[in-house]
Amino acid sequence: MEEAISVQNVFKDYRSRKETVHALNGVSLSVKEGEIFGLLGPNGAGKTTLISILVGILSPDNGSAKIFGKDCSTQARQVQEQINVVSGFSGAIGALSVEESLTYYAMLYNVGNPKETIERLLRQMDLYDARDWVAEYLSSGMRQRFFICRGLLNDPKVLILDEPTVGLDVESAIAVRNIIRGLRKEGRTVLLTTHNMFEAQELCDRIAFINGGKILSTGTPAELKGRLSGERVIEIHCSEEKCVVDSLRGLKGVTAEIKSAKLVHVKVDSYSRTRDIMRALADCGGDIYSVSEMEPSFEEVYLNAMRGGNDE
Amino acid sequence: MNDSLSRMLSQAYKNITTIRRNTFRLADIVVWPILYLFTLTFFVTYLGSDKSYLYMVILGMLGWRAMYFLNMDMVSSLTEEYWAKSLAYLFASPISRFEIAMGTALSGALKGAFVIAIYLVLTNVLYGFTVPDWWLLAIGVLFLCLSGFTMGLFTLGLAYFYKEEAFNLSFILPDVIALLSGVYFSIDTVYPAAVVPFIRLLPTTQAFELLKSMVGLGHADYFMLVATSAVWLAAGYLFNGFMYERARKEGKLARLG
Repeated sequence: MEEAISVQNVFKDYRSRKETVHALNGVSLSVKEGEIFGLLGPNGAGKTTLISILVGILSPDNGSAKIFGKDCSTQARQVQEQINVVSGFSGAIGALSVEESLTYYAMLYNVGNPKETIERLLRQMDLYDARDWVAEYLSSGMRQRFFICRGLLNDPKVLILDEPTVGLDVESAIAVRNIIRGLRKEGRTVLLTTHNMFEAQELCDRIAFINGGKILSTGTPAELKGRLSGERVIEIHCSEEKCVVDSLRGLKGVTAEIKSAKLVHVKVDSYSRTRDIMRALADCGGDIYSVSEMEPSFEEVYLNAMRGGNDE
Repeated sequence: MNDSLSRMLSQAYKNITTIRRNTFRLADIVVWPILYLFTLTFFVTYLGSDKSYLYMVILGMLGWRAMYFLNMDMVSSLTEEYWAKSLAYLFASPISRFEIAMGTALSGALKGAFVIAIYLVLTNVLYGFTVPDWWLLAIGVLFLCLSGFTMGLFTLGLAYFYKEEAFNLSFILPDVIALLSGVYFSIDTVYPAAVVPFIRLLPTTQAFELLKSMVGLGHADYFMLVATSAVWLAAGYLFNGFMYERARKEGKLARLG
């Protein structure tokens, strides 16, 4: 698969009279064509700076950022023809209707058959009936779908989604996520930033954690989870918690602890201990309702990475 | 359609379409110009001055409006995108700074032409004004459009950095230039002799002199008109480019939304 986005050792400082902020400190990453790639990090991590460099509105101090082999700084025009951006924080130009706004953007990209393209996208995003509404006054969910329409007008090979579901209600967020899944089916490359870990895990093929202008870790959601060091826990729901704890006493690499009535957490040094635990539980007098490995949540994986763990 | 032309026209389309639902923009081409026309012409007729003074004021207003709308549309187009939090989309598109300037100048020129047409009709009906020399008017207005474009390049250059603060400047600048250039008076009689040569280095001064020459109250100097216009235009273009690249380097264009 072709490399859609290639970022090599990019540095960017913001200088003022008072201080210098190191926004990017040698960022490198690679996004393959057709991939949904998540860029996750706290506010001020460098995500927006990196996106701004990719879309050609900010020049890096050092290093290179390329989209389909074209340099985002020196060949910005060619790059901009192949990409588009959707931001959860943007607005619509006041006093233009949905259709007029899209016509404006269609002209900006010299879209062929603009009327047909706009109508197709409006229908696809379920906005056709709202085409005469002033875009500024659309509801948050409709507005976000409108922005995605705008982002797709030039049929971009790479779409950058900057927190596309921020501030949306549950239904609207689900609708937007479904649209993003659809983008993958269309073969588009998507660079997604979000603070919603569930969304990142659900949508992204690969994820990079960024903080302090550095990429901390990159991998598939499963790989990133797998790298989380620390204790592994098995959860046991039972009728006689004391009996369970007694049965497991003495097992190597296992420490059982009553968490609450009918619930025992068993810390293990490896999930391979599960078989030993099951055998031991066979001798327990009470009923065992369930035994399950407790996976770390993606939020834990994220927080661990931000604290400096989870290294590749 | 050619890509570059389409991008330029997109700016004009946005600015013209906005008028339909934006009362402020509508007032800008209908209400304020007419009020301004009445205020000045009523004052001159009240003073009972010679007709040539009234015509000088009318010609000055025609030229000033052309200059004003070019400068204003170039900056307000950007400012409105900034207010709408959509400016980064404009910069993230393949449009160049030159295409932005040309496209917004086009909508400014259309607005200017509309207001000039209203002025010509109203002044004809009210005062029997007819243009003494259409060619001279066309040349004067054309060079004032060019001056407005040059001013726009400067204010647009500042707008990349200072966003809405530059918008305020776009209101102030045409009035300052109008004052310096002697739109409604003779600079030789009002300004100290030592200052006048410097004021003559402004292309607007030369263009308004040309318009005033139609009623015998100014002196047309074609060489200075062309030379000052060219020099200021080149300076505006370089300044705009320098500010754009600096803004791009320092991240002023960058915030999405």
